[in-house]
Amino acid sequence: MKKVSLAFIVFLGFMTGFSTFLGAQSPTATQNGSRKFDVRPDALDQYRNRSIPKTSSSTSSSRSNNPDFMDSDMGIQRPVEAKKTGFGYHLGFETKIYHSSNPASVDGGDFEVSAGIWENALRNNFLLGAYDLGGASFSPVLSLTYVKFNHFGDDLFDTFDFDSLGLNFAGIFQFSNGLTLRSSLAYNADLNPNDGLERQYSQIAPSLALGKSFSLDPISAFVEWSVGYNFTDNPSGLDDDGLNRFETALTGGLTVPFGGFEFSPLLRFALVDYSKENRTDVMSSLNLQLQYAFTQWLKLKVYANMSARNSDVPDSDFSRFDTGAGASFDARF
Amino acid sequence: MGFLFLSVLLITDTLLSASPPEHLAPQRVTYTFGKTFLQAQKLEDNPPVELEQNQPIKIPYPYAVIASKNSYLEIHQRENDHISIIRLGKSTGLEFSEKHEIYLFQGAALLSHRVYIKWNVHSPNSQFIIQGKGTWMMEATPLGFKVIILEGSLGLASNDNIESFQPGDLILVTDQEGKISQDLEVELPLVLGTSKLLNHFPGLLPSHSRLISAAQVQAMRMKKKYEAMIGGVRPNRKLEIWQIPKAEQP
Repeated sequence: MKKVSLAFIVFLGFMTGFSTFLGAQSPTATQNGSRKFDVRPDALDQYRNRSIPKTSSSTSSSRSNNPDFMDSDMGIQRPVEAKKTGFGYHLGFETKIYHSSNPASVDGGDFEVSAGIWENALRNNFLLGAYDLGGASFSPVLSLTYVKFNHFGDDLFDTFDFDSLGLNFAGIFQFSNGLTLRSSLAYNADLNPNDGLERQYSQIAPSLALGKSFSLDPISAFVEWSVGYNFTDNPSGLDDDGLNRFETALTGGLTVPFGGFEFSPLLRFALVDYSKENRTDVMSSLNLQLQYAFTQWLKLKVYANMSARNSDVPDSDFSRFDTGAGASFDARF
Repeated sequence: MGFLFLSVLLITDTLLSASPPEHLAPQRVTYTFGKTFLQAQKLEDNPPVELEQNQPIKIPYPYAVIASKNSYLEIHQRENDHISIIRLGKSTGLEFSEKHEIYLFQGAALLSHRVYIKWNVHSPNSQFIIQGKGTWMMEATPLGFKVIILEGSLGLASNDNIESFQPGDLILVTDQEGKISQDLEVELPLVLGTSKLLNHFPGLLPSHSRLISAAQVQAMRMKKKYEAMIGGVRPNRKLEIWQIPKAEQP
C-alpha cells in the first residue's frame, strides 16, 4: 500500500512537472502566452463597416403608407445630389475600450483571466463606381484598414498587443429581390508593434458570400452565407501554414432604429475545418450593439460580444465575453 | 372567270376589313380601379363607355381614356412583339391622338416600354417629344409638364436638340415651345416607395428589377439629400419647394 501511494505521488509530481515543462517550452500550447491567430478579432466588425449602403429597405416597392402631406400619384419627390460616376471614398476612425473575460481565447490555464483592451481602427473604403446592369447593380470596393489592439489590466498580456493590417477587394452584386452576391479577396497581417512591426501572422482569404436583406419598416434585417479559405503564413509557429482552414459561416443581423438610437444584434455561426490537422471547429458569436448618432459623422456605441469555440481537438475550446463602449467618426466623400 | 375574280375580291376584302382578334387589339385594359371611361371623338354619337378589365379598345384614333376621382387605369399597348404599359393616375384625362401621340388634359400618367418609341406629348399649355426606351412618368402642370425618368435611356427633344436624361432626373417642360426650364434629380427609392402609379396597381411592371437597380445605383452615388420636397408649378413660373418637418422626414 505504501509502495502504491509513493508511486502515485511520484506520478502526480511527474505529471505536474511535465505540464509545467510544456507550458514553458511549447509556443502553441493553449495555456501559454501565445495569441490565437485563427481567432480573428474582426469577424463581426466587417459586417458593420461595409460601406455599401443598405438600399433594399428603401428601394422595395412595398405598399407603404403615403405621407399625409403629399398625395401625388408621382410620389414624394425629394431633391438630391448624386455623383455622376459613383466613385466614392469613406474614411472612418473608431476607438473602443472594452473588458474581455478571456482575451487570450483559451480554455483554462493561467491565461484565462480577464483584461482590458483598447482598440483603435482606421478604415478606408474606396467605392470604385456603381454600375447599373439593368436589373442588378455592381460595385467594386477596395478597403484598407489598420487596427491597433492594446491590452491592459494584467501584465500577462504585455506580449499580446498587436496591429492588424487589412486589405480587401470585393465585388458586390445587388439584385432587385434583395439578394446580394459578394466575392472578395482579403489579406490580413498581424504585426508586432513591440518588435519593429514584425509580421507575426498573415492570411490571404478568398471568399464568396450570398446574402438577402429584408425590410420590415423601420427594422431592416439580413442573412448571409459565406464560404472561404484562409491561406495562412505563421512565421512564429512550428508550421508555417498550419492554420490553413476552410470556413463557412451563416450570419444574421437586425437593425432597429428608434429615436436617434440604433440597436443592432448580430449572430454568426462558422464551421472551420483545418486542412493540416484533423480538426473541425464550430465558432459562434453574438454581438449586441446600441449606437447613438450625434451627427452624421459622430456616433457613440456600447456593445456586448459573446463568442465561443467548440473544437474536436482538446484544449481548443474557449468562450469569452467582451463588453465595452466606443466612438466612431465617419466621413464620406 | 368573272365570278371567281369577284369571289376572290370579296374574300380578300372580308379578310382585310375584319377586326383583329380581341387578344391582338392594339390596346387592352389590363386593370381598372374605380370609374374609368373610354370616350370616342364624336361626343354626341358616342357617350363615354365605362371600361372593364381585359376589355380591348378597338375604336379608331383619336379617343380618350379617363380615370375619374380616386380611380386608376392600366392599358397594354401592342408594339409588334412588345407591350407598352400606360398607367393613368386619379383624375386623369389622356387622349390617344395616334398610337404614339398623346394629349394629357390633366392628371398624371406612367409609361413603360422596352422598345424604342418616340412619343409626341401635348397638353393645353405645352408639348414635348420624348424618345428612347424605359419607364417614365409625367404630370400636367399649369405651365406644361413635370416629367420624371425612372429607368432606361430616354431623351427629350428641345429646340431641335435631344437632351439625354438619367434615372432620377425630374424635368420641367413649359410653354408651347416645349422648353426644358429646369432639371433636378430626385430620390428614386422614395419615388418608388410612394408613387401610386407604381404601387396602386396589382402587378409589378416588367421593368421592376430595372427600377430597383436604378434606385440602388443612385443610392450608392448619393452625395446629399435636401430636407425638402418638390411640389407643383405655380402659374407665376415658381416651382414649389416644401421644407420637410423633421418629424415627417421619410
